[in-house]
Amino acid sequence: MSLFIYGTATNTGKDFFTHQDRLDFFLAGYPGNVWVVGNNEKGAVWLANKNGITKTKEEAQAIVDAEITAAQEDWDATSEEFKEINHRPINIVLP
Amino acid sequence: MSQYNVLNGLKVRYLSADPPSPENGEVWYNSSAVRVEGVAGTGAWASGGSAPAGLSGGSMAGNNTDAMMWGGDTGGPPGAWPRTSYHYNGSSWTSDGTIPIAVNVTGQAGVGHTTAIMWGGNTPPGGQAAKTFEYNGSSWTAGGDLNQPRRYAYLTGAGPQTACIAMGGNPSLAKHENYNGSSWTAKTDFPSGANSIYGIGTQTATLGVSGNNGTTASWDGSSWTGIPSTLNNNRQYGAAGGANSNSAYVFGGGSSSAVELYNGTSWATQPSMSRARDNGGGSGISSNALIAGATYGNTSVEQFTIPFGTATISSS
Repeated sequence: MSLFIYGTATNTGKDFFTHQDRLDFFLAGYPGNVWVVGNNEKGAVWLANKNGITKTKEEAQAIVDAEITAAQEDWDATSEEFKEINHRPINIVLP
Repeated sequence: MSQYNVLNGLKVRYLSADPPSPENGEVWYNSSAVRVEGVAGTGAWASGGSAPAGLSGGSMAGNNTDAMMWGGDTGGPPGAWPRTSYHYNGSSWTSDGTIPIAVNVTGQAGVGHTTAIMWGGNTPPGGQAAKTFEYNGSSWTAGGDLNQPRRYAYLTGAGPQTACIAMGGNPSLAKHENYNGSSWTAKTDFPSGANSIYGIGTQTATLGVSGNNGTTASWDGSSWTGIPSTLNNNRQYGAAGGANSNSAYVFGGGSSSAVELYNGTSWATQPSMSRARDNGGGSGISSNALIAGATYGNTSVEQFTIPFGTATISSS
């Protein structure tokens, strides 16, 4: 069984995830509104309660890759001054 | 871990309400609740109210229930950079004041939104990297100029508006100076020059942390003493906060969501943020009220707390 559940959900701000959520299950956010949560009851309930859409790991990775690629292209097109104070987005491999 | 007797002496404070930003390990008696209360538990980052914009190099002062955010780069020409500053009340953001110039990566300090202060920063073309501006709850006004221009002040700084600390900045500065509410006075250089040096604490108990190479030193008001470096480097363009040089957090920077706490002796890993935050600002005057700001293209905000614990004392 996979250690994680993958999905997309829109961060609605305050209490989208709570202090208690962070203690109850693993949670990490990525570009493209991708969320990786612990594969347990509380993680699954959280994603469902947030109107999340479950993805396979490959689908989630593809969303992140597309976002990162777009962000890298955006960064490449910015001024040298912008680049001086912003790191180029790096590729992310989901856990 | 913070020690109660070091933070507060041996007497338990008698208060009618909970203190606004208690430290982990702090204990007090709440006469209204008729019980002993304290901060003890496991800290964690929760989502905060989404910021009005996701900008590069925005700055922030205050804590997770009373913060100010200003400045930042939209990625477009400086003339298009926003000049509205925003106040955070713990759940949502409200427009609150207009900064005098379009600027990003300023120095930052202040204990709350009505006492925010900024200095230096990047204001192309030409720049006003020596300027200081103070907020009074209704408007930003000019303060004393820095002795050392700090273009790209990179989210450094610590202390209240009338006693804050500036270190670092472009190009790789070690220069350190303190503000008294009207003028800056040069002090002994930080041991290592860096574009990004985080300052935490007060003018007599400062922790300086290089975001570039992790070099860390404490300032006692007269000299710097080297202490262990952070566990994770590079943290350039991350953020920091905390109560003093014995209770200091650094978080984010680069592609990292990692958080570390210095307790006066060593650095230890703390619960991580939900996502990496680069150049997003962040602050906190207490170990129990940190806030991590929005980043370029990402308006999400996170806030760190450690829950209260309570105990009722019975006579029988």
